[in-house]
Amino acid sequence: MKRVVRLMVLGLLAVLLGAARPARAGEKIAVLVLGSSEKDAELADNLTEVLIAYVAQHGGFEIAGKEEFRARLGVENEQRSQQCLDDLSCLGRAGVSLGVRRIVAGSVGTRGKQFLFNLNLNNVEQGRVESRVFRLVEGGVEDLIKAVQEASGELFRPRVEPGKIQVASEPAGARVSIDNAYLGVTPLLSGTLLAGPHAVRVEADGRFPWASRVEVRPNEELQIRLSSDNLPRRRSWPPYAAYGTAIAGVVALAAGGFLGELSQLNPTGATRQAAADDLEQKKSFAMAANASFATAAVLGAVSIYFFIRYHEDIFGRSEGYDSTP
Amino acid sequence: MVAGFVAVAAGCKVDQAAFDARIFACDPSAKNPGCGTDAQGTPMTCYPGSLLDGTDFCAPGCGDTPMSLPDQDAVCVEGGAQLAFCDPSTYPVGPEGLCGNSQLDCLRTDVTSPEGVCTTMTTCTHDVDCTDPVRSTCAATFLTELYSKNPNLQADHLYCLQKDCQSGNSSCSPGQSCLPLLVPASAHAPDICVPNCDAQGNCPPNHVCFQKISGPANPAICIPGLLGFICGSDIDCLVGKCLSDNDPTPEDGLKLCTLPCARDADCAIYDSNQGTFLCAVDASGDGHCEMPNAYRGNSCHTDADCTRDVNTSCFFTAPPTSPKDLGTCLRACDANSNCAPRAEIGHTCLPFYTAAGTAGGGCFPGFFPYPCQTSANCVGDLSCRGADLTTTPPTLGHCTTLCQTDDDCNADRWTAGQSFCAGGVCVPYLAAGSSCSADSQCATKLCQADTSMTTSTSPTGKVCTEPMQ
Repeated sequence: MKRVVRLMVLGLLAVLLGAARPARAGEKIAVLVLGSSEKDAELADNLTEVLIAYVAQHGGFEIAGKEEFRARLGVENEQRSQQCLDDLSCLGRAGVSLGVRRIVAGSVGTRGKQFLFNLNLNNVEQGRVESRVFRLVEGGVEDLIKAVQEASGELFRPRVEPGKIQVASEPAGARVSIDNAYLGVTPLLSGTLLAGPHAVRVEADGRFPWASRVEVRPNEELQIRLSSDNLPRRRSWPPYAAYGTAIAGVVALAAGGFLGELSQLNPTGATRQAAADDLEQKKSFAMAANASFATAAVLGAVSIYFFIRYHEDIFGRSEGYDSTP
Repeated sequence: MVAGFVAVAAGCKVDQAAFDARIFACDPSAKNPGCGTDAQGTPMTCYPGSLLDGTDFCAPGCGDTPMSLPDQDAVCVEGGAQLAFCDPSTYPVGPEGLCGNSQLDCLRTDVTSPEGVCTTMTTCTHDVDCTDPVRSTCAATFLTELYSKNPNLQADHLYCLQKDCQSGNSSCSPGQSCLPLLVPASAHAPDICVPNCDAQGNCPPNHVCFQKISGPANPAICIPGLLGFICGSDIDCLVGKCLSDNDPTPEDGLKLCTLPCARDADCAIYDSNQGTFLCAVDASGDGHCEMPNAYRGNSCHTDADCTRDVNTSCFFTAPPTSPKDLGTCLRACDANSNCAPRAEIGHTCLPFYTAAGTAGGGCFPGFFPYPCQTSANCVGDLSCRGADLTTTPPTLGHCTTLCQTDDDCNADRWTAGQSFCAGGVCVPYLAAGSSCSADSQCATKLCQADTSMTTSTSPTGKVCTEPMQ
């Protein structure tokens, strides 16, 4: 009982706050929240008031009277009313009689220390549910009110229609990723995508990938057709040539260093002749070291040339986005 | 890669110069000393540095003729080893010393000029520099004592030697011999140990192989190249240069260690017990210090041994009775028993015996108081006194000098210490037992009353006596 009183105070506060803001003239809707059981009827009634106040203020709707709505449902208890709210045809009749096109209907219940509620925005004219929300709320009544207000805002948020992307490539079989999620190989029709920008990346073996940011519009199917120019061939030999020459250069440099070190050792021998022979050997080492250094230099230069000339083939293209598929 | 380019730019090379500068030990007696060749492929030779208390080491080869190689800043020494030239009079800069190598030291090769060669030995200037207890005397000490009248002697960067081997009756180090025991006493050889010649007759710088240059009858020892000594090349001379004497026929002359001079006084500062010097001026006016002792002749057994001095024969003081008898190589006197001067040094004809045992005259420097026919037969400022060539046979005089007092005789370099004044000329000291009137007339410096038991024959009643022991 105490919780209900507090709820009412809060609801009233919310209404007063809502009343303090100017209401916009607009569509008339009906709002009704029922309790899941008889014991939740009072809670549901108060939530209905909270919801009405929030919707009226934030949605700019004209609200049909709660009691009138309840009367139009033509039912006596919560359970029977709930059944009507779940039945679009029943709601349709009530709506027509109330003169509203859309009805916010829902239910609330308690389960231990948790609140459960759901709200449906029913289009009685079209006979469909435009939007629905469900919440399980932990905490007190304040949390419930806050959750209901948030849910009502979500309920009336305009629905964005999804779009799709169709990707085809020459050659086919390229891997397609959208927003870093692999979807499949071309030709490919994506699942529904939220309207808005999406990052598309198409990769094929032996070719440079194609990547782009595309704008998907609601209810549209974006066609992406990639020619072989969009997926140019990527040469396989430059990495081998560049890294191979680099490694060979490093090996030559190391060999040169080793031989150079050997050549710089003090010639030894029991006699000068023996030391001179050792010196000649070290001269050979020095020559071999110089040859190795020269080879290392040439290989290094060749490697650098490969890295510069074929850097895209070796490292791939930078992840810029092509805007003209 | 950058390292590769840097390495290529820097290049990797063997330090041939450092290798060439290294000193390698070797064994000169080995069939193959193992010295190999130098950077130009020229065979290196094993230099016997141990002859002068160094170590044997490999040196560039330079042929068999010792000579100075100024264009290579080197000296070709005996044995065909090329040693680097150095100037011992300069102050060494840095730890590498005068030779640019801490293993080498600069050995002075001339005490009258700044010349030296680099060799593996520790040179000395004072005796304290000689750490070897046997070779404890620095040659500098020996030379300054020998040439005590010369204040300008550059006696430094020399070698250590062993002194007093004869007087001390001590044996020399292995590879060395006691010089006075192996040469004639008349040579007044210094009492020092000298290196033996190596198997090829080579000696270290400043020395000449006596046997190699004087013939097989002479010992195979290395004679120091003192002034006026026989030499083969400049490197043999410790004093001066090795030049041919002023013989009119140069090939007939001798090569001697000598110094240029203008007058006798220039040479007199080198007077010592090794000899008395004079300034011999040739026809061109050039003078060179020479000493008559150079013409005393080398030892011989037969005429065949007289190879050092051409046109000489082996003469003996007594008819030879054994092939081992030692004679002296001298030129024979002419038919008139006369001798031509050699290098401005007068020679006189002395009676000898030939190798065949027959009497024959040999030319010998005209020292005091040798017999003579003319003053041309006498050395230095000696003149021939008392000769009468008009008699038959000619009456011979003596090489002497005029005097008024005994001091005049002692003042003359050629008679000093061996004469006194009598009858206006210097005459030899009297031997023991000879009649005398003053101590200064006796070789023993003791003229006493004749106390012999026999009737005194002395007109003065005094005779030269031996000092009391």
